[in-house]
Amino acid sequence: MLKAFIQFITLVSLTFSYQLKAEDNSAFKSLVMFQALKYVDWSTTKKASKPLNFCSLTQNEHSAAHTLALKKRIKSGQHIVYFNHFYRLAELSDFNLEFGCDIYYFDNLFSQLNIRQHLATAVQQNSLSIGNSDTFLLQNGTMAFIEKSGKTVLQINPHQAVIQTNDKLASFLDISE
Amino acid sequence: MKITKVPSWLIIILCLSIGAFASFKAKQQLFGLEQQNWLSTAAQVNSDFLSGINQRFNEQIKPIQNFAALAISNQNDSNDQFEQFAESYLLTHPGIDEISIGYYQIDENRLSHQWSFGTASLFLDNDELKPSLLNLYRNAKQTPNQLIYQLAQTQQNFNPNLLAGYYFQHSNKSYFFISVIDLNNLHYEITQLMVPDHLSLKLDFMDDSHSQLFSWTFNPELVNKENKSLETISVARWHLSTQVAEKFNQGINTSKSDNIFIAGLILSVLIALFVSFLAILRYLSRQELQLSQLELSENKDLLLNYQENLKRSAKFAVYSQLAPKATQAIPPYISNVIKACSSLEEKGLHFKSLIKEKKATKSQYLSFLDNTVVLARGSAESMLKAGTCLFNLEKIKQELEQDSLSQVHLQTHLQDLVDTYKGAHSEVNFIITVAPDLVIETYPGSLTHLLTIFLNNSLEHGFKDQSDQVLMIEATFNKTKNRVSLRIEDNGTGIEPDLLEAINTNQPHPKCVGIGLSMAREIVEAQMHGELDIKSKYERYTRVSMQLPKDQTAQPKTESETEKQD
Repeated sequence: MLKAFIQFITLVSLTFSYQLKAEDNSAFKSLVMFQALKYVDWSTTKKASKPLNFCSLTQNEHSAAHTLALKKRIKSGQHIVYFNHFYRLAELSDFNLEFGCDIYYFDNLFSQLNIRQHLATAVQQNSLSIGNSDTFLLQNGTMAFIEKSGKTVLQINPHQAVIQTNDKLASFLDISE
Repeated sequence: MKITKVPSWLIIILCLSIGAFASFKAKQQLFGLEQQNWLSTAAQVNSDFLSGINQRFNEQIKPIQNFAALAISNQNDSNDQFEQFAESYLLTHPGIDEISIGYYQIDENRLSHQWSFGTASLFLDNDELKPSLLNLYRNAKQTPNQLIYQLAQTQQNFNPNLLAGYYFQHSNKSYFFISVIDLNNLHYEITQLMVPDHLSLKLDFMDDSHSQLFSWTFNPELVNKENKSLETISVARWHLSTQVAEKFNQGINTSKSDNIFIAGLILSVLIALFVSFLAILRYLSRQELQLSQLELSENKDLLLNYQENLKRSAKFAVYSQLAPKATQAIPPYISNVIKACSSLEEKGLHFKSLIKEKKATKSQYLSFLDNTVVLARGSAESMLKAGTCLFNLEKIKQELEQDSLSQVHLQTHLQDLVDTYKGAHSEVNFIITVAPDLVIETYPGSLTHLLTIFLNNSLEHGFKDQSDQVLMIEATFNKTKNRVSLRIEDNGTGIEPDLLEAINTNQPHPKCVGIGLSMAREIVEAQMHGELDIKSKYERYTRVSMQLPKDQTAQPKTESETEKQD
């Protein structure tokens, strides 16, 4: 009981502290996502010409997803991408149930929460999930921004096969395990 | 300086040096070409890179121009239609990544916002960006129908982006369009996908006044003073300066120049080895030559000795040849004397018996006395002739032995010699035509030797069985030249042409004949300072002509004469 309480307090304090500041390297992450999504091949998983839903779950509007959304519409493969921002997991789940999400983005905070079930759903939908930290990859996310040698890289999960990497996509990813 | 005089080691060192130098030069030349090819490849990659950048940039600015045309021609279209255009444009143009368009109309000299899409919408809500928008508008208004660029800080904590403006007037209406070119995206895309390896690049974007609007550097860590710089190239507003790192395209391919250098060195070493081989051969040849020269020198000395001996022997052989001929004339004279003495004795005994018997008459006395006188005179003449023969022979012998320079009365000398021959060759008609007062200063022994050779040749080989054998000796004096011309001619069989040629050219004849005539030529030319000419017509005649100086002391002395006089 005490342990559960401590975890709750920790989560609340983490959430509160993250809400105060913007996501680290949001501009750079938006760049990487913009370029990487361009070269994702959806031909085997998504119907042609169907717009893709980009669903972000962030603690505030200062995230990489919001920075990317300033472009209003971007391309991923041959699909146009619509941005949808959520700040609560339940809202995201509801949207996903109603419209479906093709690309997920979880900011630093939500990437470290237990979102294993949501990510499993994403895999079942052949949807691409982008998060932050190794924890996100361990929960079977598709790719995650990770700090390596002082640099932020977008690392792909080698144990998940939602997307096939090609040469151009590989240029923007860190494919090392 | 002959090449054979140059030391072999010097030639070898020269071969190696020249070979190494030539190889090095060839390597340098080839390396220059290889470097040029390498730089050409880099220049091509550079050019392709800049073309790609320009193409990528043009794709980014193309939507604004297309949208401007659409907006002006379809002014009544709603914002939804514009959005459909934007999404459709994004989908149908593979090179377009995003659409960023702001559409304004100019209303009473103020910007009236009509529609925005993408990052261009930031200019609606963000007051900090409005000065940039207005500044761009003013600049665009000054140059209508033309894209104007300026930088704008559209995102915090990030590099500024490029703001493109387009002012247009149509049907008394003015329009202003903007587009935000995401330079951060473009730079990141170029860095990740387009920058060639091992090229350090500085890419400048120029504005309308040719001032640098922004500048990017790629692979700055490769900048090095030792790197080769390519010529700055420009496409549209882009200027590109490039340095080529050593590792570009795996570096300069120096395999050919290295191979040429090694091949050149190997070739020069081979040449040096060949020259060394020749040098060894030359050394061995020199040694052989020195030995041969030594042997030749020894043989030459030996030959000279033999020649001298031969000459001496030949000279004395003359005597042995003449002596039998001279002595052959003596016995008949002695025989005549003996016969006369016998006859006188017989007649004396008969006359003595007549006297004893007192039958001798006065006429018989007188007859006996006359006969006695005749016989005594005849005996005396025969004895005189025999003595003359012996005297001549003795004189010839002395001349041959002494052979000193002296005044020779030519007629007497010739006559004495011919007389020596006459006894043995009574069938030959000797004709001597010499001026009685012709005296020549010469070597009498050598002259006798010469004449003996010619006379012997004529008498022993010149005549066969012909009946009219004539041997003519003629001597004349040329006062102008102060030379005596001596000619000996026979009407014999002549000399065979090939033998004559061998004698005149002083070449050995296969039959080993003509040695005497060759020796005669040497005596005439070397000792008597004269000239000898032998002419012959086969089976007709042989003519030997000599031009001898009348006064030998006026002629330069030979070494042998000097030694003889010493």
